[in-house]
Amino acid sequence: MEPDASLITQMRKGALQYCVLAMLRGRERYGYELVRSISEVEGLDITEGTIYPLLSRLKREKLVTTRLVESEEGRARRYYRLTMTGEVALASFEVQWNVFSKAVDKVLHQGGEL
Amino acid sequence: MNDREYQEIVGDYLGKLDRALRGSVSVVSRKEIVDEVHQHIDEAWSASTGRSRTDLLNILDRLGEPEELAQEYSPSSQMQSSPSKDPDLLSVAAVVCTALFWPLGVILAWLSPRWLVRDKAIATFLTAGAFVFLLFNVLAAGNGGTAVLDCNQSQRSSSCSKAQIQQFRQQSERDGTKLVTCWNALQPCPPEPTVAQNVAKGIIMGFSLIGFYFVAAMFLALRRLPLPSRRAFALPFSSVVLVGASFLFITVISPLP
Repeated sequence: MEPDASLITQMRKGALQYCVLAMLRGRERYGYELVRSISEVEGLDITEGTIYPLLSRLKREKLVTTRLVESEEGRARRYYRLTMTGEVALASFEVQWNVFSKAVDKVLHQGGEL
Repeated sequence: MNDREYQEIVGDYLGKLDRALRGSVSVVSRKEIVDEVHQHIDEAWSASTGRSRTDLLNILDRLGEPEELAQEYSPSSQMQSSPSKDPDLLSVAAVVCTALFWPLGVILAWLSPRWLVRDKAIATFLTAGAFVFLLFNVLAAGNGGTAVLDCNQSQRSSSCSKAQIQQFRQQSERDGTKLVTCWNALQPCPPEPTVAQNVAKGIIMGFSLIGFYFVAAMFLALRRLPLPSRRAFALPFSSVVLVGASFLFITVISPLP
């Protein structure tokens, strides 16, 4: 039986926002730069159509903030940066994720022997 | 691919996106979103190797159809993606309370992240405005609107005394009513509204007040639906509002002096 597709989508969506926050850890990035770097990560399977709306929500929830910077080519680029709230949310997710994913891995690998 | 073609295709995409975002996000965020997507297309285009039509179409394809992209941006679709139940309950409570007891409903609506500020303002205006308008009407009706000094009392005494008129005038000034003195055939006394008329007016006022709250609650309920179902309900909803408004106009507002 195939796993419930919507469940996988929900899980992916939930984790993805922290991946975006993690990409902003310690540095500002503008939209396109962020999209490129994150879409190069294999297995994440994320497209532009998902990241931009996600960024807009993270901004609304005050996990990131933005500022416009003029680029050398005269283009205005919107740079994203983690807020204090964003850093806290990311750190707390990281801890919980580590514990949870290790536990799931362990059960998946040796569930029958436990 | 030349510059004009590029502008045309990108302009078309952004125009569709802008239209699809209308009504689901605020004007400011709509502009910001369209700007950001425009920026992205420009950046991706400059970075593309061939700068062919196919490259551009690929960039747009990765963003998705403008309508789908707009759907991703709408707060209600994002709300569904987070499993938190709280804001949902709050918005349901807001809708129900708006119909039953509007001050509480409106306060709850303002607390909920489910609606745009514009929607909350419309709901507040509808409920509070209807209340003030009808309260004003009831007060005016309670004062009688006009005070009639009947100096032709049963045709026996022919006129009111000066003192009587003076006292009556002061009284009507205090009440803020319009003074009508009637004493002969040229100025006959206006007929008193019958009890039945007063009751009928009261009932209509009461119903229209309830109607306003119902419309406001319906409006909030409609605005918290995701976009596709909202579009399906928009026409029946506007028809109901239109019929209600015409009814109110014909029965209450137009007969007012």
